[in-house]
Amino acid sequence: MSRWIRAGLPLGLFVVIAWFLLKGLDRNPREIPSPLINKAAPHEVLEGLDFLDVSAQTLKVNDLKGQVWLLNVWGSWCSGCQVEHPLLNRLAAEKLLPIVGLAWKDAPAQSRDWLSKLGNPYAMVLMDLQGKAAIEWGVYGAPETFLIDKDNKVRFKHVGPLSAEIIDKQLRPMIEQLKR
Amino acid sequence: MSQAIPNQLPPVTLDEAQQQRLRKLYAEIRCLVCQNQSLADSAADLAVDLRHEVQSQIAKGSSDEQIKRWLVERYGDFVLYKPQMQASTAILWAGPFVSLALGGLIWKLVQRRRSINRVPNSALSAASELSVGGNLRGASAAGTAAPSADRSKPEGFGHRVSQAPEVSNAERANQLRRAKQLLLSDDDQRGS
Repeated sequence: MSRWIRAGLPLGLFVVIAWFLLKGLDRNPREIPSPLINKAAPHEVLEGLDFLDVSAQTLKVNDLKGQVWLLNVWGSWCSGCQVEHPLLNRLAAEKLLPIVGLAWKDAPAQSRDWLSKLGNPYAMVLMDLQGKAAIEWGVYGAPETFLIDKDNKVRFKHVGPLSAEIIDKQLRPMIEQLKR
Repeated sequence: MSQAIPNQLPPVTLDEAQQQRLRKLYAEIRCLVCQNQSLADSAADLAVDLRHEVQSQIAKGSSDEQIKRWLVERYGDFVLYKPQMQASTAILWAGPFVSLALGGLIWKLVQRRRSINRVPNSALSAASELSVGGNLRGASAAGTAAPSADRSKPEGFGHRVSQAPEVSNAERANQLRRAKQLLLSDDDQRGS
């Protein structure tokens, strides 16, 4: 019995430590779980923002209530945003849900320039010149993408550029489920 | 690549006491862009904005707790270097103490085993009889190998044995056996 303990204790300790270290390998320290998940989306702060005057403007912030929609935080200064932009264009073309762009601390002229060059997937672009709205949403690095449901709850958040895999495997199934 | 527009928020004026609070608070808040810097050290854009926000909240008269809660509501527990005590962080807080207790328990167990295994006095005296004929190692070598083990072993191994020729190998083997029995019986008694 005691022999088992003596042999098993270091082995058990090893297994526990190894498990934690192994788990740590595929954890990204940059991916901080959002405390907003399943909580009310900070809607009011968006209402106070000005629109970027781009032609495709079809929505108002209040129209989003009762809808499933996507908030994409971007800036023309952000290289990751350029990476995900074609995917957003494709998603917008599907007309699955409105995508709202939050231009985070971006000069309006540069935002406009960027969208005319790379295409505009956004149903509306809000300008967060001071970065106040971004703070309300707990944004700490662009790009960040939030999925908001009909009850104005944040259901999903992705930090960093979206990939086709994330859109197909995580985002799209969730959107389809939430729209039901 | 264009640049993010710089912070244009008006500076907040704080009195001496408020500034002291601010410094203390900053050191407890993590910069999320450059994760291993505190908010006080960081020059990242977001850190500038967050610092401004904390300043204006102090100026507004919010308490440290309120400001921390405000931050955690938006950025999660990770934003604080020292996580708050709650159900989800209980393991984090209790962990060191639990491992300390566990370590102490193991240490105690090992100590107890040691005292059980310590050679009892009766066995020691039997063993010291052996040293009449040489040290324990020499005796056991002679005793276990064969009673008629050759005495012509090279120096350095059996020389102590050869210094006491009056004790025969057979006798020494007997003594060793007795000592072993004593040791074993003592161990059994205490062990059970």
